[in-house]
Amino acid sequence: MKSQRKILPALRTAIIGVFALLFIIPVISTAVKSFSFDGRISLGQYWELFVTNFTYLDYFWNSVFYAAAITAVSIAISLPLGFLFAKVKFKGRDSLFFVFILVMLLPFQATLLPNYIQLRDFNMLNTPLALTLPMMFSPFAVFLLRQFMKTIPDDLIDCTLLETSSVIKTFRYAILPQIKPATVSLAILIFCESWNMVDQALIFSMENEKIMPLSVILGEIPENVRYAGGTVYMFPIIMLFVMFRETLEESMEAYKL
Amino acid sequence: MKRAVTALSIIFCGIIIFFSLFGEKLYYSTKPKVVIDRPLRINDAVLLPEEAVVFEPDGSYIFTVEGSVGFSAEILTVTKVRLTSCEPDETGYLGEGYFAVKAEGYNGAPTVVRTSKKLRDGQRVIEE
Repeated sequence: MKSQRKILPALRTAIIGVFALLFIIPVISTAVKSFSFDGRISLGQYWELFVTNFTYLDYFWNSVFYAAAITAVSIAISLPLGFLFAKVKFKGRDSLFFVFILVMLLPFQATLLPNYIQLRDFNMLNTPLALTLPMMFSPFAVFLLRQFMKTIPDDLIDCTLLETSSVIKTFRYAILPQIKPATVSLAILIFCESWNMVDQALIFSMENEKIMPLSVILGEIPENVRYAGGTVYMFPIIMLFVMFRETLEESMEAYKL
Repeated sequence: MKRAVTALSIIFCGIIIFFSLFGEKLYYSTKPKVVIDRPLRINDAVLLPEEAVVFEPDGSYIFTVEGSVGFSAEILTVTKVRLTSCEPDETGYLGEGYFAVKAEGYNGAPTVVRTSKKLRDGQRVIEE
């Protein structure tokens, strides 16, 4: 019995270790191989990437712009909506929320055609708006923030409302500080999702390659700089994760995600 | 750990901003600028201006240019071709200062006729 107790944690650690290795090996090997050029250890691949293939960074900035804009607007829209669904009582709230959940459950491919038709009718196809606007309204973010806000005690909101007599101030002083870790986590998740967008870009911007994000162009860069290109592409996401790891873990633990 | 990551991120951002601003300029300023010409072929010899021929102790050479479509710009790569014969052109067809050259496999491919720097085999160049 005792030996079984000792073996189980070790086995669990070993299995988790193997999975961790499976995930980390491609990342590390890409980063390591990016420092070899013409069979020698050098920064030549990065020089080739940034100088000979200088338009690579244009696509990098496209990705930065899209991911930042989508994250900022999505959070700005989802915060009041989450508050609305979590704390404001009105007729039809639950039915409306049900519609939100329904939209969230729909796969991207199901909403692709309606999105495409809408963007075409608004003359937005092949513009940066086509790549950002559909992702700015995220039912998932609304759902998640609603779940977070539901954990805030109603008494706190009532007291703040009595003190301030303003819904906006209540939101600012009673809600926002409570859901700060959740908002940061959500922002990181949305940023990562937008950073990795491929399908939307390929379909909504078929005729304008200049506005493509880096995720789409990555497959087209020359073979001799592919590892450096991959490393530069991964770097912002890894750095974001490392910098906000504690906040991410905290919020995931607190809200049982 | 966090400090190291912050420092690394700042360095990364600095590199990205630097190359975003100067990457293209560096591409065009670090490579030799050349004048390329598709020379005239008369009989089995090719007529080239004198400055296109490079004389070295072990023989005379010219540089042919091969273009390929790059990710950001057209990539021109030069190949050093050893001449088997290099005689002053006596036909007078193009005027003075021309050589009638011959080389194995060379039949008048685009050739460097003037360069801003000394060229090496396999080097990338920019057309002036």
